[in-house]
Amino acid sequence: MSKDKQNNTNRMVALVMGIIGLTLTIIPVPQAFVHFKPNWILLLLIFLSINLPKQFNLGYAFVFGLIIDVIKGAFLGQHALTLTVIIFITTKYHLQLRIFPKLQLMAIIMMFLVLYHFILFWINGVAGISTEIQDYWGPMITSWIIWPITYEIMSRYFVYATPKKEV
Amino acid sequence: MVAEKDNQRRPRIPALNTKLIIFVVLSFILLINDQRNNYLSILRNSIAIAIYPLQSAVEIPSRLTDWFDLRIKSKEILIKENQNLLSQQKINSSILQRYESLEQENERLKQILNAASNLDNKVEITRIISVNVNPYRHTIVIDKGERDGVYEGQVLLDADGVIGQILHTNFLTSEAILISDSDHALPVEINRNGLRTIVLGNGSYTKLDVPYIPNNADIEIGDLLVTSGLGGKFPSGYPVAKVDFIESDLSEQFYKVSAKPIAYLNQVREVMLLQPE
Repeated sequence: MSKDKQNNTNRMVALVMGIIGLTLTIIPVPQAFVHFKPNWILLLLIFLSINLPKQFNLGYAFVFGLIIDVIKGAFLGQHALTLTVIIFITTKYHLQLRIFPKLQLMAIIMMFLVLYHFILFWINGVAGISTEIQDYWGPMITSWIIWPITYEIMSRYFVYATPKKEV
Repeated sequence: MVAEKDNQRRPRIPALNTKLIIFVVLSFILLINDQRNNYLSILRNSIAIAIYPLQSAVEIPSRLTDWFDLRIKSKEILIKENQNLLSQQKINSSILQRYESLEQENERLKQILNAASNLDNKVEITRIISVNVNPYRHTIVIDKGERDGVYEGQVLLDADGVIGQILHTNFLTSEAILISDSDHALPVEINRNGLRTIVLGNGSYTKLDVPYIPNNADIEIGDLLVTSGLGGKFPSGYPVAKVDFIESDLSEQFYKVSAKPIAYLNQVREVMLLQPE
């Protein structure tokens, strides 16, 4: 498969995954599960920035962040800033993250999730919106639990040549 | 040679640090401007229009189940439901008769007092297209926007009482804040004796705070709180909540009072927008 064709396929897959992710973000859930909605788009972007960092990095994070801001009725720029910061870290260290064993990667993902929710919490605090800190644990834990599953599913649909084959 | 090869192998991301700086600065500019003024409504609007198809698509399953529900229901159930509704309708219209005469009486009295009448407000029914998009805030999105003449601060009701008010308007949709949001305050009065106070949301759908009731005030469990119309946003006389908890602590200056909202804030699907006169 040529490089261009591969890029196009990945772009299409990313588009579809993005739409699915946004749909899952919008979809209404029963009252009991409201505080346990995973951060689908964050997981998708982390996956992309680790495995296809050249194609998908900060620009995508920023745009998806703005869309989530509008969906959630948050301040414009809140999720955009947060996602940009997280995806910067994952893109910067994507080579290390790729070779991590799965358990170690899980631990790192937990750190990213904590950082993500901390920045959101912090911006809310600066803006004077009082939020309960325990509301932030639900999505963190569910996102963490579904990370390996979404990772497996996503890695089936994207095509990437490992750097070794290129040389 | 080795170094060169190594360099080739390593997939470098072009201008990562520059990008970070640009996007972070951009986000900060957006964040600061979004809170201070309204320049950004065009950006917010265009994104909202772009995601409107998604929001409506998400609604399809629940609309389908509604539709199937209607088709599949047996004839007997429908007849029974119809009978119930008819009897309910009779009861309602008898109450309404009294209401009409009261309204006329009120009108006459007001004419005598030379005051403006505001009893017959018109409403427009609208559908909630998404709820709980943000678990930290109690907001909903409805399917009417600027196109339909919705404006910021417009009042939302359901069949029982006040639900909230419009927070942002987009072209096709608008976002409303519920009275249970922890940032929402609503001026009310006790229907029984006209004692004025404020109802604050606290993030719970079934409980509102009523602070600042002095320890010697006349308040009882079951008292109906109605909008007082004092803030200028909500018209007066719409039911809001019923007092369901009073605790007096003599060392404090105020009673601890909470009230249960009359509208089912987390169960409604159709809400009514109060039209300006």
